[in-house]
Amino acid sequence: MFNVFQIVVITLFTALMTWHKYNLQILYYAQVVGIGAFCGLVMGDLNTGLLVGGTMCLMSLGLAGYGGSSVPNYQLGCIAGTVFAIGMGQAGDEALSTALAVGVPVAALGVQLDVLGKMSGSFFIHRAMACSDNCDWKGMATWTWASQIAMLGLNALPIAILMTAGSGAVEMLVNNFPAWLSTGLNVAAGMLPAMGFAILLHYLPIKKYGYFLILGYVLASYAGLSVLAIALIGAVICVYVFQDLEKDSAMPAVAVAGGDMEDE
Amino acid sequence: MSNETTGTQTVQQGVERLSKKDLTQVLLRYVMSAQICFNYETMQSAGWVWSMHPAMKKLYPDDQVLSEKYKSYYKFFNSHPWFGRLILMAALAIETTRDPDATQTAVDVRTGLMGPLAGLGDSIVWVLLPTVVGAIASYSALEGSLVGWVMAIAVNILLWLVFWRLSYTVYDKGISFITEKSQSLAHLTDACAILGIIVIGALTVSTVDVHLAISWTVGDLTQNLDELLNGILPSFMNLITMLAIYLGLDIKGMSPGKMVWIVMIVAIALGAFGICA
Repeated sequence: MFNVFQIVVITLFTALMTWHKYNLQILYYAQVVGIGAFCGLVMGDLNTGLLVGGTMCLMSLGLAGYGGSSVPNYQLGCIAGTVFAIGMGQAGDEALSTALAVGVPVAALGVQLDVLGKMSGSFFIHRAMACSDNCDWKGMATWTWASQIAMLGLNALPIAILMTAGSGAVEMLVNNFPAWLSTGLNVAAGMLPAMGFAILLHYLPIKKYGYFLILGYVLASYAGLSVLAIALIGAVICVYVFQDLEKDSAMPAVAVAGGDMEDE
Repeated sequence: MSNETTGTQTVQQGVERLSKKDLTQVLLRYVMSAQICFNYETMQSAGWVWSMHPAMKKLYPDDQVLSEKYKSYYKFFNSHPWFGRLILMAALAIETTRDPDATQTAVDVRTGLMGPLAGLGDSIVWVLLPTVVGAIASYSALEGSLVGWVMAIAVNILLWLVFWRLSYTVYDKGISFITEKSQSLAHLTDACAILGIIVIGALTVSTVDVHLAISWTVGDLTQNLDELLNGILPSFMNLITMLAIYLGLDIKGMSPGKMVWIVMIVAIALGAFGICA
């Protein structure tokens, strides 16, 4: 199902993306779309890659590892889903079903992999600290970076195993997937984006500004506007409110300074 | 500060101030390693120490001094990695004074800033902007286009570079030029939160996709429960799903990791029994 080139490239890409997700973060926004597109290109079907990437990116919205917490890893899920959907020679809706069947469980297991990776960090940090105590700067750097063997390996190895030893089993599983289970996974795909939003809402000042939910809801449902259009309206309100808040807090200062509003 | 001759031996003093090149080296290391070796004891401290080392070595050539200082810097640190760059630069600015208490001051500043700045970074840099541009990129991708993704990445890179630039300014002027604006930053967070809330309201309609498959026939008329409910309130089941998950997350001991499995199991059950489709 996969050639050596694909297995090597996808495994290395998984490792690189795992590192990038935590550290560099320069291609962080909408990264699941980018990952889907890249895997699609490597597997020779960009369109399916975009379809899987777009669908799984929607599920990932609102999820981030706040304060060191672990969240479903849709980046990993997207890689597994895309390569299997295309590897099994599928396209369109069929490919998406396969991608979800493989990708969503992988994304959910990503939580456990993340926790394991962070637990392994304890081993490496104590080695690095011991080197630092002995002024061994080379050793400090080595142990610090060695931690990536565990973190990246924990994410990349499952993908490599799925694509090699596990590929037959995954294919058999997908081909014998009971209809009720694929229906269920499609329902899950529709529900999971709500999880990211619900988590996000817990971090937002809902008590103070919750009524703005209604505005977004009305603009999308009754007015039928696109997300971009609504985001632009939201940006206008955002700027207006910001200026208003700034003005209010500047009032007392203005009285003292004699109405000099222009100072930066 | 020049090399002073004390007695017979020249005391190694190190450079007076870090050059832009020194700072670039620290920044390059830090963007590569901000959350490297993440662990539940000290969280992000490993990348911090490795990144600051070249600059610290220039300020304090004596290895024993450095080793003592790193004991403090290896303590718990956890913030938003982009704001972490600014905090790191502030710490280096304090170390540049060579005050005997510099390290203690720097660590205090670090501990004081990491929480508030993490809140700001998590909400704006990691969540609100990625949610807005991520949704646009996703829909664009579903139509087979990479245009939305390119736009999202453009926003990402631009903001990333702003933080990069700001890092040098923090070293020159101290972190105070940011903390002095703490009220403005709080206002910015508030205003951006409104943008986020509006977009979430919209995404509840467009992105969440839950439908009931229950229908019944009365005479010649087939009634579909989903259509009936949507007639009362559009995207009725989406709203119910959002509400259920939102409240579910409040249950004691619930985590996103557990929630994703619960949602999957419930969804599969609802699909299998023909309640949802």
